[in-house]
Amino acid sequence: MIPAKVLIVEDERIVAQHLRQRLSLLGYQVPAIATTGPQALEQINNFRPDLVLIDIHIEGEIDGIETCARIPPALRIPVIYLTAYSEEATLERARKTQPYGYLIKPFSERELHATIQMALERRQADVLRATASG
Amino acid sequence: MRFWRIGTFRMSIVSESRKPATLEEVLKKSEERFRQVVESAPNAMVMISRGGLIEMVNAQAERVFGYNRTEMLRQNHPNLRDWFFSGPVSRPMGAGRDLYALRKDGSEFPVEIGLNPIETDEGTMVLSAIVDISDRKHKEESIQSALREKDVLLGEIHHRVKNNLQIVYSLLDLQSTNIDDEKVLGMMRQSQNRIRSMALIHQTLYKSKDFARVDFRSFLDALVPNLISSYLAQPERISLSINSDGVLLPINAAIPCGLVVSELISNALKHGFPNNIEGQITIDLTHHTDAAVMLSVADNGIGIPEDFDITQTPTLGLQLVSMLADQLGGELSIQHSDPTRFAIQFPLHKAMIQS
Repeated sequence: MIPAKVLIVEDERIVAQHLRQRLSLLGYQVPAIATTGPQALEQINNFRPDLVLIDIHIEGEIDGIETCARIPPALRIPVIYLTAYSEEATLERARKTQPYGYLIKPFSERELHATIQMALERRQADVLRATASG
Repeated sequence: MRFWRIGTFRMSIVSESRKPATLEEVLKKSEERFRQVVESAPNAMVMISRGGLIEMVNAQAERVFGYNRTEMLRQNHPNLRDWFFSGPVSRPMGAGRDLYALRKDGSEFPVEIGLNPIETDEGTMVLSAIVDISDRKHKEESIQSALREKDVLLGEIHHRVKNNLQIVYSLLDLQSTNIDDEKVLGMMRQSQNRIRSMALIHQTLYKSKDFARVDFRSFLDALVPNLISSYLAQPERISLSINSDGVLLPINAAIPCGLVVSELISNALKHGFPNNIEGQITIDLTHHTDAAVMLSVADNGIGIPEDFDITQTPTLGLQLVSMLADQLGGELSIQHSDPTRFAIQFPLHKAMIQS
């Protein structure tokens, strides 16, 4: 089976590198690490990842939530937010982008793996449903 | 002799004239004095009759409200009069609530009003002393906003400390990639778990927005499942019970206490349940007395040897338990089996706030 491609969007370089390592050990492919919103959008366009893991607080003009709002809906790329505890207002904004999950930092290997698996499965079901009804 | 009753004070009016004054003269003089006192009082004063009419105002009332005396006198003043006269004693008006007064120009200002029953020839009246507290309110608001700012900054600091610990955790994990030796790997993992425990204390503080005290229950809820899945391939074989009666610990107690729990759980997971046996771990954190807290970690695993002596242990984890129990000013007691239990009773010092 081709490993799922996961794009990491995280500006804390060490944390991003660590995440890349954990994902590789879990059998995922990480084509790139983006550290800003515009970079993430560019890499989504380049690599068409199966999933985006994105920190809500990233450097640059647009945060993780705004970045996700700008992913072309036609791509149907599932998004999982990585966040330290956030204000309810922030979470509310995040919910509006209909993410496939949240991971509250620090998260365990198991939580990471389970959340990603669930997102990929749900995405597959959503795509099938969309194809059937379209 | 005649007394004006003003609140709990009695102003006794003593004649100063050399020749004996008639009662009528004394009375007149005392009334005149009362009028002068009220007139020159630094607070606005308004006297209202039982019928609700304004009978007297002073100069400050004119200034504060922006009405002329003639505009106010004999006007009806409907505010809660019946309520006051039903139990006429001196008291602040609307205790515990914010009161606002209305000027002639329609603007409002915050006030504090003291109500005093006054006995007069025309019956009981209520004398209201009105203090404009705009200035005090303004200062209170700036103090409140400074406090809010302090909270935001403190939250930010805990957040950053947590993030930094998270980075240390990541660094250790990255470093572990090149380690093949299982024993060394285990040591790295233990170090990571210790750092994670400390990070979680800061996380708990940041989350609760109470930067003085850690809700230890919510810390344990985050910590322990993580520890179990870090040590066991099948975490479900250990059932977990956490009992904590809302104990709040100050950060200087929460960090050592968190590390102690982390070490004890790790120890139980590493040694208590060999060969994939199932079992239970119970954590209790309760107020032993008003001034002391009891922390205990128990497991129904295989137990520890009867000759085990924590002061002689070569294991860093248990040395830490002993050291940190001492730092907490606590006493450590150990039950070797059925169930294995480590308990620490430690005082909540004055500096340590409790729930």
